[in-house]
Amino acid sequence: MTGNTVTRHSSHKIKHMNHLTEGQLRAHLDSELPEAEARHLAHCAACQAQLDALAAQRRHIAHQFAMLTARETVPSPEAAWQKFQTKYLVQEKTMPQKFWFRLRPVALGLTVLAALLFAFTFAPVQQAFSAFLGLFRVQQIAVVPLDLTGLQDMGGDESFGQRISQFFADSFTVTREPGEPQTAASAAEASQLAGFTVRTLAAENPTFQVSSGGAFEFVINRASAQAVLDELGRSDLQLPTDIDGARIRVDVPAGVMSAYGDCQASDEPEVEGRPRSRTLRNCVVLTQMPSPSVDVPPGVSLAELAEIGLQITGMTAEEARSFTQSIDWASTLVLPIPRNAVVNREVQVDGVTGQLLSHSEAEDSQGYYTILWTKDGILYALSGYTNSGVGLALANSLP
Amino acid sequence: MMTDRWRAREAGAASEPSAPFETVFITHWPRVYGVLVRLLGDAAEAEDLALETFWRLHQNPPRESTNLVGWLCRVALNLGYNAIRGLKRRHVYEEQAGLEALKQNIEPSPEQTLEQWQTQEQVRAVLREMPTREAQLLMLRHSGFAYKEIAAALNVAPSSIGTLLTRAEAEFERRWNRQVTRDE
Repeated sequence: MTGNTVTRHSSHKIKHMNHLTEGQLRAHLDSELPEAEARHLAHCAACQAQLDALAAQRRHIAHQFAMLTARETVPSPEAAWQKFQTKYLVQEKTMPQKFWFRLRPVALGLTVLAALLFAFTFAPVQQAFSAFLGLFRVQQIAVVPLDLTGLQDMGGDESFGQRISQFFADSFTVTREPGEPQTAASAAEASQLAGFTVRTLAAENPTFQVSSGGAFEFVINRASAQAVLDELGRSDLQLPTDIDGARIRVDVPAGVMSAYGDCQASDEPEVEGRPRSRTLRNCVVLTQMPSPSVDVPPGVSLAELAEIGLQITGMTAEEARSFTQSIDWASTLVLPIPRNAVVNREVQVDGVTGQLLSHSEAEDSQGYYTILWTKDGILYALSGYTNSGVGLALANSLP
Repeated sequence: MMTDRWRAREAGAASEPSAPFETVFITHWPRVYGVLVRLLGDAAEAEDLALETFWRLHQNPPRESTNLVGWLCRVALNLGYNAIRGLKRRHVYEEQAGLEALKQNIEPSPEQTLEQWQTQEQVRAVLREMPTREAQLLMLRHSGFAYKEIAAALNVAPSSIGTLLTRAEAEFERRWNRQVTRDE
């Protein structure tokens, strides 16, 4: 404490003297007090006594805090940097923005829908060498892990990115605009709005959002697509000539996204230093919708296109052919995932075989995950932030 | 894209040029992780939050980069505090599980380890209950941060650190004694 006290010295002169404050004394203990200020201590028994008391307190607390020192080895900065790149930077470059991880939970279900749309649009979803397969519905899901690191540099070339965007913009026509999502007060109301029976998890206080679905067409312009391949340095991959002008129609029915737990925090503006995602550990989002339909004109071999697409991402021609031949294209939705950021495995869920996408193969690992499956013509995606074991248990709680 | 923000900074578009992000990461990682692992006592959780801290730096770097470690520690401690408060219930469960594991002689010297573990939990329990700024101040100082760095992290004047530290330590002592008495 600061105080102007009066001290009587041996010279019998009366002299005013400023004691050091507690703050100054504490700073002295940490060697943070300027030397000029510390000189006073040498002549002041009162300050010295107070310093001793503060030193004892500091020693005691330092001892307690020393106990907190981790026994585990500190991960090396280089190893941590690798993890950072894998977890955030590679993902940011290779995935559609905020794809599987770092998702706002309320947007999570919609993102899954968007991902499905993405898959329907850009991934091989059907082999049409059998003319009768003009229309199919998803009955199962397959995942193809891809090493996308070779594509990272594409993101750095802005003009190339713009040309890609333009290519898709030129090729797309929305034939049924998706409406604004509607909020439903209950599963019954959501079922009525969506036109199918909405199932609910064994968890409390769900909120329901019904999206109206939509439809679009994609007309293949072979010359433009081949130009993109050429620009990628893959002129060795030649697109079939008979795909030019082919019109692919995709119809996505109304879907329902139900959120359980504290999922609303994500809508708050992010405040510096205040965690957002940490509050979402109990948020689980279940998205369900009838299987989308894809109409492909006879004669267009999407399997052949798939082989080309897989080779662009680094697969050999043999690997790509082997994969495309292993899939029942008549009924399978194929999701491409980045091998270095997402792991997948088959899981038994809701009485059927589904796909679990997550950071880690361990069921009890903490992190974001998505479980995908289809049952009775309905496509399900369950996403959460805790661990996939919890997600699986919840999915299996569906009535 | 967020990446461009740091790129812009590296190129000198911010108020001053910055080091490459990788250099900043490598330089400050040990201290950011160190503070978090002391606070949380969970290596995986600490690593997760330390990575998130750097991600926030990557997304929204501060205008001034004169004391990045201060900025990083402020973000890290905020994340850490919200985590330990939010995970309080989990800690109670883990406390039981941990005690059982130690009693079963899993560690090489169980008595010593048990005592250290109990002290760690008591320190964290006190920190959880303390006012955030005081707790953060103690964590930073007892992790070896200089007054200037602490001042930057907590947005206070360097000259006030000694006083704030004294108050925080007195508060810690008071709560510590109360908890020890309660535990006995």
